[in-house]
Amino acid sequence: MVERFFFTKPGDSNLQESDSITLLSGPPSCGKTSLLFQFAINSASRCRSGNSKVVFICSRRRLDTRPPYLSQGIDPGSDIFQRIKMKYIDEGDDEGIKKYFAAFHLNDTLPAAVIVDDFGDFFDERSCQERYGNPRGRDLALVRTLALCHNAIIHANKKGPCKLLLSDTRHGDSPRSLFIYKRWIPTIFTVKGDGSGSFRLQYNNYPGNGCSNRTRIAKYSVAFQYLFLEGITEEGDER
Amino acid sequence: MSASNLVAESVWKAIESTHSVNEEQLSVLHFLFGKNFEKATRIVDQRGVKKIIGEPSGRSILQVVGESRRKEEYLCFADNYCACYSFFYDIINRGEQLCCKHQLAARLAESLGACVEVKVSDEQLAVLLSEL
Repeated sequence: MVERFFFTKPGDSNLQESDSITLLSGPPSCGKTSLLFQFAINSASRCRSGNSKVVFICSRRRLDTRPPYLSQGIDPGSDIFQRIKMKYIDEGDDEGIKKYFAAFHLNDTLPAAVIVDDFGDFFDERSCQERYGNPRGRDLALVRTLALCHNAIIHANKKGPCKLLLSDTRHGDSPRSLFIYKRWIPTIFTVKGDGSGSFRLQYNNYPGNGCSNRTRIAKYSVAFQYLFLEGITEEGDER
Repeated sequence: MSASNLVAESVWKAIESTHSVNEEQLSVLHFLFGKNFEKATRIVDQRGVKKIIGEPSGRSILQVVGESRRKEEYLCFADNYCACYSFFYDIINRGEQLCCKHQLAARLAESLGACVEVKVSDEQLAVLLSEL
């Protein structure tokens, strides 16, 4: 499952179908945007229909300040980038996100994937509090928007595969709003630094559902301004 | 998914398959959801669940009438969202309940085919959803 965030060769059978809605959570500057961008490239490459596209939603200011690093082996001039459509929404403009997903069913052709980078940054504490007249205004806004995103994607999947991938920055051990995200997002990947400049990306597999507890962990680096997968290991015991 | 949710899902699917509910199913749902389910059945009996369907996409949202005198209407996705106070504070924040009464009413009405259906254009639906 972690393979979907890294460069894969065409026909690579390791790239399993991902869940409809996924969250990638990690500390600042761990390469989340780069991972998301590679996911976009992988999704665009796998589109069977020539009209299919991938929509990448982010803040233009952030992207200009910290553009994603490509993986080695990716040609920046490749035609695949024509299939990735950038949609810029200002930080703090959660209404912009809501409007996009409220109108999602109006798309003539639904995208194969929608990626939203730094999802939490679109929700400004003060403006949400003022809008809702409630000190928990930001959480209220997050709940409403996630419900709308979920509904949009689940409806879209009745017509064809359509994935939603969000990223959120974690300050501390867990994302600030994890208890809210978990309500709508079944698949959560987390990134942690390994103390030596590299990062570990893993899927948060919750035990007790009868599945194997083995989890695949991808160790990667962005130290040399490209996304480099150092290796994938398996950890945990079979149950 | 929790055990309660799994049991509830199987009951909802059984109701949906026949568009009818029997005493045993009512009893199970009452056991799982308590007084909220009682209130939900009253809302459904009073035809308080509206399904707003966008055409031609088929995307929809439910609107459920509250029980207070003011008769507020709450926008709702039956399985995971309601605009009411209880949904946010009791369910999301405290995790004390599985569903609010409006979600239960929505789910029950949908399963029974007892929603009042209102068809709107996809554009009108988009405007409504943006105001969630």
